[in-house]
Amino acid sequence: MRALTYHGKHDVRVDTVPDPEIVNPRDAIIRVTSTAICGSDLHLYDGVIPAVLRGDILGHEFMGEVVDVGSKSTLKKGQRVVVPFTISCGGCFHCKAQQYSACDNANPVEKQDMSEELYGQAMGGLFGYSHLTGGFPGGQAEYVRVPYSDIGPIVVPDHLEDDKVLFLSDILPTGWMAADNADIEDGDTVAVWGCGPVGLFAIQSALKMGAHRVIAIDHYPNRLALAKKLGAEILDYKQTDISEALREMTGGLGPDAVIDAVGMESHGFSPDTQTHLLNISDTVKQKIGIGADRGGALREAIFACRKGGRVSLPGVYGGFLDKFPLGAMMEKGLQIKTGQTHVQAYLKELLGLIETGDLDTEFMISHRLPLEQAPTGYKNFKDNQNDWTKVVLKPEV
Amino acid sequence: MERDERYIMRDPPERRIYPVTVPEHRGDFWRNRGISPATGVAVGVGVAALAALAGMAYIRNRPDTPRPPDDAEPRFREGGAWKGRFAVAGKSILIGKPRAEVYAYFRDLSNQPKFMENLRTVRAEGTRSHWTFAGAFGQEIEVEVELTDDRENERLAYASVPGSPIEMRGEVTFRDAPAGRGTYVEFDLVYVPPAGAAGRAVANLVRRSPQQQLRHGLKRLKMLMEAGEVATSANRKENA
Repeated sequence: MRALTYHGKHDVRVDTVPDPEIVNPRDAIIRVTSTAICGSDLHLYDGVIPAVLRGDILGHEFMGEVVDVGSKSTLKKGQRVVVPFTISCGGCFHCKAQQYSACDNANPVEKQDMSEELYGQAMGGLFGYSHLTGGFPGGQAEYVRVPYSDIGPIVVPDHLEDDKVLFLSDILPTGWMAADNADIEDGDTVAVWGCGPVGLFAIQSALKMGAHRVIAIDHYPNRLALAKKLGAEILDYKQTDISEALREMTGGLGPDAVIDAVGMESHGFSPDTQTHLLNISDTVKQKIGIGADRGGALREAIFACRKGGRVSLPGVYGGFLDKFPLGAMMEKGLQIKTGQTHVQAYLKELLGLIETGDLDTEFMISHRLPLEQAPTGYKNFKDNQNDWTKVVLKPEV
Repeated sequence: MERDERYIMRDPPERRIYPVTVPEHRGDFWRNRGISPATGVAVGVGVAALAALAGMAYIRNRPDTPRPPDDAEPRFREGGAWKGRFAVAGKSILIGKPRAEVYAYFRDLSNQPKFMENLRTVRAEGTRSHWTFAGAFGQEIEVEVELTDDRENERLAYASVPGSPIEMRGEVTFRDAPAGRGTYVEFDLVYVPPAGAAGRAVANLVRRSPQQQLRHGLKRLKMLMEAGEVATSANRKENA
C-alpha cells in the first residue's frame, strides 16, 4: 500500500510499504477514505518529538471502511467508521474511569520503558506518533491496522459525508475537552491562545458551553478571521500587548479561564512582555537540542489568567519546560487541567451535535489533496499557516 | 507685567569636566609580581577541588540521624538486580480483575509462557511441572519445577528441583486492591541465569536486567487479563 512515511526533519515521503493484516483478535483493518494532517504532526515534521524513526507511517486523524476484522472485533466489514487517535483497551483502571488516552494496555510493553523513565508512568498508545506512544503505524496511508477495534472506532451514518465527521478522530473532541477542562461558568470570559484547528474547535465548544465571551489570540489574519466568524473577539499579538488588552477587556479581572491551544512550538518574540522574552531562550535550546518545549503561549496564558481561574492545556508539550511561572500559578491560585484527549468519552455526544447541525466541522478545511501530495500538504501547512488552515488527504483520489 | 525670576527657563550651567585617574589594571598587578593568570586559574581550580573533596568527606562521615524503617517494600532495599550468582527481582502490579480470577490464571502454569520472557512452554502434572526456556544461543533448557506452596487466591511458590540446569525460586502473592480496583500481584523471583557470567553480561548489555524482564512480564500478564491480548504495534503477524 501507499503511506506517508517519516525520513527526517522536514522530509516526509509517500512510499510503498507492506499492507497491514489482523495480528490480534480485537483488531480491525480499515481502508482509509479520509485522513488529515494535524498541527501536532508538525511537531514530528519539525523533529521536536523524540523517538520518531525513519520509515514510521505518520497520521492519527483518519476514517474509512472496515475491510477485515479479528475474531473479537465488534465491527462488521463494510461499516464506515471514524477512528480515535488514542488506542484504548477499555478494561484498565484508566479506561474504566473514562481516561482513555491514559490506557495502560495499549502501548506495547517494550515501548513503555522510555516514557516511564521520562514521565514516571508509561504513556498510552497513539497512532503514528513516535515510539514513545507505541510506534503504531499511522493513518496517512491506504490501510490501517486498528487494535482494540471494539472500543475505539465509532460507526457513522452514511448520510454524513467524510468531511463532516473526520475530525471526530482528534481535533473536535480535543477542542471540546479543552473547553470542558476550562470548567466554564455563567458570565465567564475565556481566552484561547492559538486559532489553529484545535483552538477554533475550543472556541466553538466554549461558546456552546455557555461562555459569555471568548477572546481568541493569534497572529495569522486568516485564522483570526475564522475565529471571528465563530463569534470570538480577536486579538493579534503582533499589534497588541495581550496581557494588558485582556485586563482592559475584563475590567482588570483577567479572563476566568485560559486555553493554550498552541503547545511546544509557540511563536512570538516581541520584547514587550516578559513572557515573550523568555521564549527566545526556549527557541535557542530547542534548536541546539537541549530543550523540547517553547512555552511562550503557556506563560502568557498563566500570566493573564484571573486569580482563582482555570488553565486548560490541550497544546502538546514533551519535555522539561523551564522558567515556568509557578509563582503566578500558586499565588493566583490557578487550577490546571490537561492531557491527551480521552476521545472515546466524547464521540457519541459530538456525533449527535454534528448530526443536529449544532457543531460546524467543515469551515476550517482549506485544502483537500490526494494522499500522494501529502508532502506538499506538510510543507505548506508548516510554512504558510495563514492560508493553509487544515489539510485533508484522500487516499482514493 | 513683571516676570517672576523663578519661572524663567534657563540653559543648564555648563558641565565641568574633572580629570580622572585610571587605576592600575588588575592583570598588571599580578604580572608585575611574576605570577601569570594561568597559574592563578590553576591555583583557584585546585582550591575548589580540595574544598569539594573535603565537603564530600564530611557528608560521608557525619553521623546519620537514627531512622526507623519506613513502609517501602523490602524488595526495593534488596536492589533487585544481581546478588552474587543470583538474579533477584521483585515487582508488584495492579490488575483490574477479581483476586480469584487472577489467581486461577496464574495457577494454570501453562499460561506462564504467554507473559514471562524466555519461557517457551510449561507442562504441568500435579505439583510437578516441566518448563522449557529459550537459551541465550538458541538452544532449549529444560527445568523441572516443584510447587512448594499453593494457598488458593493468596499465594503460590515454586522452586526448581535440585540438579536443574537453571536454579530458580518464585513467589507470588495476591491481595485485594481497595474500592474494587482489582488485585495487587506481587511477584518475587530468584534465579541463577543460564550460561553463568556470560549470560549475565549479555543480559546486562541488552538491558534485559532481571528487574526489567519481570516488569515486562507482569505488564503482559496485566494486558492478558484486562484486555485479553498482548499489545503490539506490528502491522503483520511475522513482526509481532
